[in-house]
Amino acid sequence: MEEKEIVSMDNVIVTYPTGTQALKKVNIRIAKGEFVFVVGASGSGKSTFIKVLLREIAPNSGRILINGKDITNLKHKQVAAYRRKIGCVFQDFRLLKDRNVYENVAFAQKVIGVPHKLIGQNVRRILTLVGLGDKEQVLPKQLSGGEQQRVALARALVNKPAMLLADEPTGNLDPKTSMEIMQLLEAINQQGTTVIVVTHDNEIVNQMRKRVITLKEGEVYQDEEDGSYAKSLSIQNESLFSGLARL
Amino acid sequence: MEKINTLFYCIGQGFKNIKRNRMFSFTSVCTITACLFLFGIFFSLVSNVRYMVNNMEKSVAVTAFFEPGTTDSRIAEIGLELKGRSDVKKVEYISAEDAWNRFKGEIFEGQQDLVDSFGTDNPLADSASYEIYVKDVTKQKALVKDLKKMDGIRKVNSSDETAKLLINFNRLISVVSIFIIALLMAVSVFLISTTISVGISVRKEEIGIMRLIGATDFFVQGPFIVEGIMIGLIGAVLPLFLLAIIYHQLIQWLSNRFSILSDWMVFMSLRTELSVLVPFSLALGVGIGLLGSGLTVKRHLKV
Ligand SMILES: Nc1ncnc2c1ncn2[C@@H]1O[C@H](COP(=O)(O)OP(=O)(O)OP(=O)(O)O)[C@@H](O)[C@H]1O
Ligand SMILES: [Mg+2]
Repeated sequence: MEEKEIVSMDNVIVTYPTGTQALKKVNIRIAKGEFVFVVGASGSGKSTFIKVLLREIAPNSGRILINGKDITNLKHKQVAAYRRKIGCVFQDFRLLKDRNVYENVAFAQKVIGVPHKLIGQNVRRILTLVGLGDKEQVLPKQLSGGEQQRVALARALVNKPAMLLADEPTGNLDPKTSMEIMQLLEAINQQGTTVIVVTHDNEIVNQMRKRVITLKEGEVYQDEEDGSYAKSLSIQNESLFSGLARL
Repeated sequence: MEKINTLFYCIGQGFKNIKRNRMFSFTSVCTITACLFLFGIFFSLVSNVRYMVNNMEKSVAVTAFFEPGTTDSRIAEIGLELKGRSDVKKVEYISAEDAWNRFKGEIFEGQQDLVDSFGTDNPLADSASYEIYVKDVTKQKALVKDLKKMDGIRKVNSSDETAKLLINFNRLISVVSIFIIALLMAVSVFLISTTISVGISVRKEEIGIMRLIGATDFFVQGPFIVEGIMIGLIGAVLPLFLLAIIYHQLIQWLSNRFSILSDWMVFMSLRTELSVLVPFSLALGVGIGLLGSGLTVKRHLKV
């Protein structure tokens, strides 16, 4: 049976060993092919949400279905296989500094054992897609931040993941470059990949008119189609004000 | 297909690790080389001494002389009893004439006039004896003791002193070498482990990225295991070459130098020596490499 939902979280709780409850009974459903922003104040649990989806941490309780498959109790060996279906990018790009653009992207293909012959054409195709067709031999440090993030995106996409997770992908970029990266993410989404983006960038969120999930202290505070950052932020601020007022 | 590509990747990456981690790899290789070189030396020594002792066992016998006037039937009886023993390989009766003939041959060789001076007298008239060959030199003592208690035996000659000395020497060498080799092996394993640890810590970031992309344990750990095995292999091959050259030169020199002793100073051929040493050293090298890297990888790279 073909699943409509790519992410289905039920009552997911994550408590760190320190005792911090980063996610408290989170229920989220994301359809295949959706583009979703996840926003919220610092410490609200956004990165934890991404980590749970990447299976970097297992929830303490609750259930997570990805494409209809329960990933809550994956064994160590199954985690690797699961991650191959998911692409991820981060604020700090996480490129291999001693390898050039081509090698960084090809690396992802080597990891999953793609035959040597096919790697070349796959990597070139994806580098052209992210607009770096002419930078194959360049080292990461010789690239701008935006270009580095494009390499990271190329690496995340080259294995054709069903879902792309981005944790503050524009956190280190200037507004113009940020917008370019977001547009690239949107283009990728339009080709069918589900995209989940954690961001602090309210302008972009407001401009792109996508679904916005707002986390607050580990709970889903708001979940709006065609949402905006300003709205959720202002509500947060209001509650902050009222909180302050009560003091 | 994925497996094969990954295997090639691991091998290539393993070599790169060694290059990148040159100093540590070099130190590890040196230690294993030292370890297996010593192993080779001790092994050659012990195996050669054992070889000599074996040769000696073949030629060395216990000689039992009879009391004067012991009857032929008693002599035959003793012979039967000796042949019945489980530690006895062969019993040979040497009559007085045999003994004299042999003596003449060995001692007075080329001095026919001296021999002639004895005429038909046999100076060894009472020297009929049994020459008893034992299966194992270490059991000789017990045999001699039993022989001395037997009726009709006058004297027992056993020339096992050299053999005994060699066996004791061999035992000492074995114990010392096992101790030193074990120590060096532990050091080798430790050094390989350190080398691999350094490699892992340098590449922590890369390993994290691999994990996020969905690399299997095999893919993440493989290069480090290959690195360990390669260090072990290089550390095994080097001393084998060294040993082969030194051994060849040494036995030639010794054989020439001590040719007087050469009837018992026979050495194992280089070829025989290597036929055992090569597989052993390679297995040890690979084993050390595998152990050192395996332990480290298990400790550092499990999620
Ligand atoms: N490894 C960890 N160990 C213990 N506590 C943690 C760990 N990681 C995060 N936390 C805590 O869990 C809560 C949620 O953290 P998380 O990183 O998910 O927040 P975030 O929304 O991503 O914040 P930011 O916007 O600053 O990145 C915070 O209170 C944080 O201190
Ligand atoms: Mg975060």
